[in-house]
Amino acid sequence: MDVKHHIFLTGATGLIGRYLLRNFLQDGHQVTVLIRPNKHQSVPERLNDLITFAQIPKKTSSQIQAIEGCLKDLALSSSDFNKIESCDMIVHSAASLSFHKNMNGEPWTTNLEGTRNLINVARKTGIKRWIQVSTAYVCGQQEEKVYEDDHNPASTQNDYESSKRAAEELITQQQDLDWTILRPGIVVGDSNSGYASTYQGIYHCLKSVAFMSRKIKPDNNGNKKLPIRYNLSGKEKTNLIPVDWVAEAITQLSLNPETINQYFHLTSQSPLLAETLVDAVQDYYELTGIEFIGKDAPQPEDKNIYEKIFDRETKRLGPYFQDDPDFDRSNLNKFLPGLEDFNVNKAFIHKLLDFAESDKWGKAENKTDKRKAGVDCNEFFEIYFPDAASRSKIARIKNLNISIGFKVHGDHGGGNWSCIIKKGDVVSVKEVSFLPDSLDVYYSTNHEIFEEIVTGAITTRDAFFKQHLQIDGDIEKALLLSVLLEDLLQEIPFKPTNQIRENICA
Amino acid sequence: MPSQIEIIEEALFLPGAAGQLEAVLTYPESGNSVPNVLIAGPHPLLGGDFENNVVQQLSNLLAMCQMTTLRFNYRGVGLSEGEKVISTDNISQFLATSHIDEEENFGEDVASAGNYLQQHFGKIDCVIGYSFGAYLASKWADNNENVKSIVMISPTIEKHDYNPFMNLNIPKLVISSLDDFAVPLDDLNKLFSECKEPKKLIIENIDNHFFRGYENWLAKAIQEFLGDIP
Ligand SMILES: NC(=O)c1ccc[n+]([C@@H]2O[C@H](COP(=O)([O-])OP(=O)(O)OC[C@H]3O[C@@H](n4cnc5c(N)ncnc54)[C@H](OP(=O)(O)O)[C@@H]3O)[C@@H](O)[C@H]2O)c1
Repeated sequence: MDVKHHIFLTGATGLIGRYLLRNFLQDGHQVTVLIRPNKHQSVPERLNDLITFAQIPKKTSSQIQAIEGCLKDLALSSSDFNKIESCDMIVHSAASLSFHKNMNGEPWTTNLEGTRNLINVARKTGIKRWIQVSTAYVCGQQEEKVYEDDHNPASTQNDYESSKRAAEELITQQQDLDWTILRPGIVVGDSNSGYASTYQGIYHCLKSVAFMSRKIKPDNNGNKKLPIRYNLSGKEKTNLIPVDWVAEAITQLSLNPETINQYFHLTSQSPLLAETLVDAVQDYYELTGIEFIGKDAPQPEDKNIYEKIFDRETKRLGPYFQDDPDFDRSNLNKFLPGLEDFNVNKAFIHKLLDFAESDKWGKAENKTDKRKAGVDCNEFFEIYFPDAASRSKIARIKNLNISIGFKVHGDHGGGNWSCIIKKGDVVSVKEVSFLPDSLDVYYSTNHEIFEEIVTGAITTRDAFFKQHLQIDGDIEKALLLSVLLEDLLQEIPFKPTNQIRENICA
Repeated sequence: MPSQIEIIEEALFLPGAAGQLEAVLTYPESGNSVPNVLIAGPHPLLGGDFENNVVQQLSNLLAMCQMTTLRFNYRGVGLSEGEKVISTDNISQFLATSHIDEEENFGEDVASAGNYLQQHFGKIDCVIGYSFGAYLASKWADNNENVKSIVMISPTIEKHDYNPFMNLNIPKLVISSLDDFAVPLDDLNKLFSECKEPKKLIIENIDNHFFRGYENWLAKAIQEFLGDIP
């Protein structure tokens, strides 16, 4: 008879987590999920969305309950503890996917400290079984084949990898836990529908090509050429795997007690080559022109605008578009011989793009995100800024001619605004998909810091000194302008019309 | 950096040529606080005040190493008296010429702050100038024999005249980042090779002109430099 478990699942709102939740519920297990509110939705609202996603009949929804909490600061009530006490395993999928350490100490705070906090909960509630969703890239940059039980990791390539490796080490040191470490490759959308809940990582590159393709005018023969020379040979491997396949593997391995103290690579045996990916994307957008000039070729000095945009967008991806190590999969094959391998081919990439396009790269259903956030970027840039500037010192500086790019990033509202000031007059402000490379100065920050700056909680300079705000372009002009902006905000404070604000896990 | 050392930050106003200057004297709560150090910050139109990360952090970190530091706001900045530096005229002029008339007067403010330190401590073991402040510091040190050493961080050699610096006999430390937008490397090497001994040059590839996240590293380099002075 099938054993039914009661699983404590973290990261259920994430891409992988929602598939795990669906699998566990559909298999008849009980699931308690840890969820934090976000700026737009309360915990019950987020739970409701997950139930809809899991496609379980309403009556089954008693199989699932939520605990509100954030891993960074797990202040659980005694009733929360009671709920967790009835669980017999933890599936820990939550993580911060920030590649580089940011101002909040992420990815370390969630990935390492959060894991430590969760271990304490396991200990207090007597849960022994622990499934750790890690990443294949904890191995760092490796030339040699990487085996699942390899314990000679090379130096990692970013904070994300280091923090995930540190979390693995922390787990495996716990004598009283029955752990299993699962390490997926690069997870992308569903193999059947192309569905994705977020567009991170490799999607950034795809998205940049998508947007550029719209900017390019066809030549006389109707051909569109995207002139990008890329410093790769084309033969580099990228270990993309569909989310449903990963979730299936995790589900089966979690429920098998023989996987205790084992490591698994959830990777592809025939990774996609960069040239296949590029071919698929060019095909999809009816483009030509992306050229592999070789990994060791010197960087072109005369980079064109498309190359600069592409560079900027792929930079975030860091090493993941370079060349993946060869991940051995013997352990996975041994435990799940029946798990069919999937084929990441051109058709699959097209499916991912179809979905992303129909979802407007995540903007389709939550077009109102920016309005719902505490401070609306559009309102600031497009309404407040031109108006306030016209009544401030800026308007009186008749030789102030400058083009400015503002980038506000973050899941909860943001975007790019390009702004042109001529003779002290703000002559245009518009939201753009990409900031052109030709602007004089650039500012970039995340939505939270943006909010703090425009509401006067911190100054632009403070944000800059603490590395929460980046500047680029003509640095001297950028510094001067940031003094002016600070002055503007003091002279004519910005009063957002819409200031509903929940504190996510302060 | 020994972080357990408690420091005292004393806010004060010191007499300047155009009115009182807002300043902060920082020193360890206990023990001997020598050497004493004056810090001159960046250009006020580019955000240079005594709360700048390099200025503020150096004054605290060096105080934790048993030094006394004095940082101040130029005239017209913060609570210092004088016409407000951030004005439409100044910004217009700066946009047109990369300079403002007032610039040379900020040199008087360095002298006023230096005088204060000298009156209270007899000499100035070191003047640290950061960015535009390096220009003012070198000009002032050239005219003042009570200054015993100088540190120039990211000196604005492209925009200002650093000739006075060439003649200084006192120990000199110059620190810059490889990618500093304001410090062309060849020019810096030339300036450094032509200036008198004793001298030390540190070039690292760190955060352009700003040293954000490297303030401890800066303080350590300065502490070592001062420790090596006989
Ligand atoms: N995506 C990949 O390519 C990939 C590859 C290899 C391994 N992995 C690993 O797979 C796991 C799941 O990744 P994913 O792709 O599903 O990522 P995701 O879509 O970004 O989801 C991350 C999940 O973690 C939650 N979370 C983050 N910080 C939290 C905190 N402080 N407290 C509570 N919950 C927190 C998020 O909650 P909110 O919704 O509230 O933000 C979300 O549910 C992670 O462990 C990741 O390292 C992912």
